[in-house]
Amino acid sequence: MQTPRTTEGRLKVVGLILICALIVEALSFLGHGAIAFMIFSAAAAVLVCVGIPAYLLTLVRKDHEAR
Amino acid sequence: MHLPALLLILLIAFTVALIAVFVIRPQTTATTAGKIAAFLGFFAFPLLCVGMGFSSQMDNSKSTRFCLSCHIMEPYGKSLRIDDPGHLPASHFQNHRVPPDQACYTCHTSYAMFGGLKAKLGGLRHMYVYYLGTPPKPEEIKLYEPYNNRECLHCHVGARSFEEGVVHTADPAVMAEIKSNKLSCVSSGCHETVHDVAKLGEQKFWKEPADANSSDH
Repeated sequence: MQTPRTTEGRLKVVGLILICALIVEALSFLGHGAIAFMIFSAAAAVLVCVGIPAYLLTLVRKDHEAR
Repeated sequence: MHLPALLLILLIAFTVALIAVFVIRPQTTATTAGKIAAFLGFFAFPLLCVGMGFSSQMDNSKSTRFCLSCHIMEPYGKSLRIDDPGHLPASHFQNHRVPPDQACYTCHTSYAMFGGLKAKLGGLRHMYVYYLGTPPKPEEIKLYEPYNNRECLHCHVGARSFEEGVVHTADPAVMAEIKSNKLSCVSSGCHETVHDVAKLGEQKFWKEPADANSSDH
């Protein structure tokens, strides 16, 4: 997969990661057992932990490119 | 669904919708208002969602239903319904001496500093063994360390039935030994029948009335 070069492209990728994370988190609330907890921590929380720094990195790069 | 969970689902839906706007039209971030909204959508709200979700999952992990969701724990759940007051967990569960919806956690957490955290780390270890390791047979499951009287005394100390109990007060040394954890509450001859899962086949079981207020498991 090619890395997006523009800020808009990066934002789209970050947005999709976060949307996936939040949908998985919402789905994890359908269950009440250990599997729901595993899905939450192994998928939703991890995706958010990837998505948020990726967004912040996008902002930093945008600022850097503007200079 | 409880109100906090419903609020969380609404927050998630709102955040997904907000992010979707920026995915479909990334040029919206060009304006100041767009930048602020993007910061909320990409940073603040997802962080809030995960934080609230984590808290909700932690609360859920205390529930009896959560503990009994692994097949290996089913006999232990069944032992809570043994129709015999001599079975310690059963009598506590059936008489609501512990909250029925948090029965496992109430007795198996440690009432010391960071006890809740320790219990949750233990739970993670259980999940690791259950899903990725070789789980033992239910009757072979043992506590990591001997059961500490502190967990019993958290509720029973000061209670008349405990402080004035005939056996507890028969010898003044007994009470001191119980309170200093030198004489275990679950030692032989005392409250020794705990989760006797190997003999479940020989037991009669209590049937909870349909209208009982403990439908959480």
